[in-house]
Amino acid sequence: MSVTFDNISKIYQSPRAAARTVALENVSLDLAEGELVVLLGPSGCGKTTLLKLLAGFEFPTSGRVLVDGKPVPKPGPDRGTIFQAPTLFPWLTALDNVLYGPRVNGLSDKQMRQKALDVLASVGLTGFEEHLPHNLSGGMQQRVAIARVLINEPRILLADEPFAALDEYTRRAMQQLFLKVARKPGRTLLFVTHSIEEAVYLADRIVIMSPRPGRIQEIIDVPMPHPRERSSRDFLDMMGRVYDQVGHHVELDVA
Amino acid sequence: MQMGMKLDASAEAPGTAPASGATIAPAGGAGAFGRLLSQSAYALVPLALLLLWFVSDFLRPPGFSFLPTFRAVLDTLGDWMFNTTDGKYFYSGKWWLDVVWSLIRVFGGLVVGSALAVLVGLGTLLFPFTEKIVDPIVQMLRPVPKTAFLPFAILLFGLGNGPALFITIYGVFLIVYVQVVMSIKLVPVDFRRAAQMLGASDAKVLTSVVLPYALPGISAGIRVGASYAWLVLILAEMLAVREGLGYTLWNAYEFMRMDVVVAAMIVIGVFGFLTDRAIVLIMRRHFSWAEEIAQAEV
Repeated sequence: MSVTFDNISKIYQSPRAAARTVALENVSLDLAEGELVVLLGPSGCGKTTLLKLLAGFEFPTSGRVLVDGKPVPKPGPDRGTIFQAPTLFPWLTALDNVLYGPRVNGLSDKQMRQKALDVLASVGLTGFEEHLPHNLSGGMQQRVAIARVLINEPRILLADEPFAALDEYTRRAMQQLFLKVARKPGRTLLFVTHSIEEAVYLADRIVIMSPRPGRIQEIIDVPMPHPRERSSRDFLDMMGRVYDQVGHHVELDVA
Repeated sequence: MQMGMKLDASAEAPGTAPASGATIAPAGGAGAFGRLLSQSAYALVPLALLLLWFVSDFLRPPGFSFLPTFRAVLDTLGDWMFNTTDGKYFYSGKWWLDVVWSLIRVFGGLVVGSALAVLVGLGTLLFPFTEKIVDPIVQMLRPVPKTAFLPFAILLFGLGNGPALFITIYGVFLIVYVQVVMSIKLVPVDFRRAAQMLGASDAKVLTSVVLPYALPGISAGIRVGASYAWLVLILAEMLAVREGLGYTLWNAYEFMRMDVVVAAMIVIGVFGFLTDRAIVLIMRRHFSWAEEIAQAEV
């Protein structure tokens, strides 16, 4: 499915004070079917807001979000979302968390149980099916979160800094795993991160955003084959190119 | 290949399931006997108080004769339960009937009142405008004495169980409702969004995510509601009925039989305690996930 953000603005108006935040201003962006686009930028640049608009969690103040030319409907299993925190249901086991989607979509456990086990196996969690989330490490919880989205076979997959809370080693392994299990012909992926390395490792296209107000600053194609070698010259050159763009906008407001 | 790292699940698994069962009780040695000993240590303080009361029977200063003696209360309790005076007093042998009726009223009020509170609370989440209608009414009714409603309840339902049940249900509802609304509002929005994006309908989000997530908090409200149900029992049974722990207590008060009053106070206290323990046991069973996250015991 293709996605179009058409001249989006999003303003958060605090109901109490006159506080008014322009999260996005006149943002237009197209995602081709099957493409992996990474939104990159510092906090406050509106990258997560853009993701929420596509997920259907929030609505633009002006402009349109279109999926295959039609206005984006309310949140649903066709647009799976991986949050920054795993957000697993803490009273359900890993397996029941994965089966949650099929169950609320009216599918029987009989049909879906084997598939759930397979999906959990694909993210390396065989043997942990009956664990409750809090008995799993952060990385394992996030893998359950990926598995529960994948079982729905979403045409669009959204990820909001999913590995930001993990340690460097786990994060790299998760990025590798993500490409292996989440990428699929025809599936469009929107991945939000503030890590330049993560963006260069994953993206077909990097959309660099700048804050206050949130805008698209630059779009960089990353025409490198997978698997990408993080220490290769090409990779480091690409990181340098991205860094040059991001560099201007990261200043601390200290007097 | 780069990054030879594998997502080996076992390498990343945290140690073990959290160890539970750490007690603050003084260690009484190993094994079941030791545990029993250390558990019974908690009963020392209440037992000491009873002993003090028993001793005070013999040391009573003049002018304090209105305080019922330990012995008198014990005798009265025996008569109340086992009719040792052969039906001499209004309460003789009526304890069992009193207990059954009071339990029916307390648990009827608790179950119906709590269920209503959960339904209305969830309704306010589903239809936000209803909260603006319901909440001011509830907050206005809360400080109004429940006693004030009793005459109306009697006129409406007639003498008997109707008004008694009404008062308990009404009292429990007002208490639990506040806790329900608070608990479901504190469910982080991303949990609702997670359910939505996995395909759950609005109603399903409420029943399969919001309610389970809020239940530990709601059950704290139900604990308060349970003790409140016992509290309003005497009020509910004061006028409208002819049996019940509250009825017997109030009747004894009118006869200035303080030994019966104290006996009834003790019985209500014990049942209130047991009710609370029962709710806590149910909580432990079903909310172990919440306890383990908090690494605490309810």
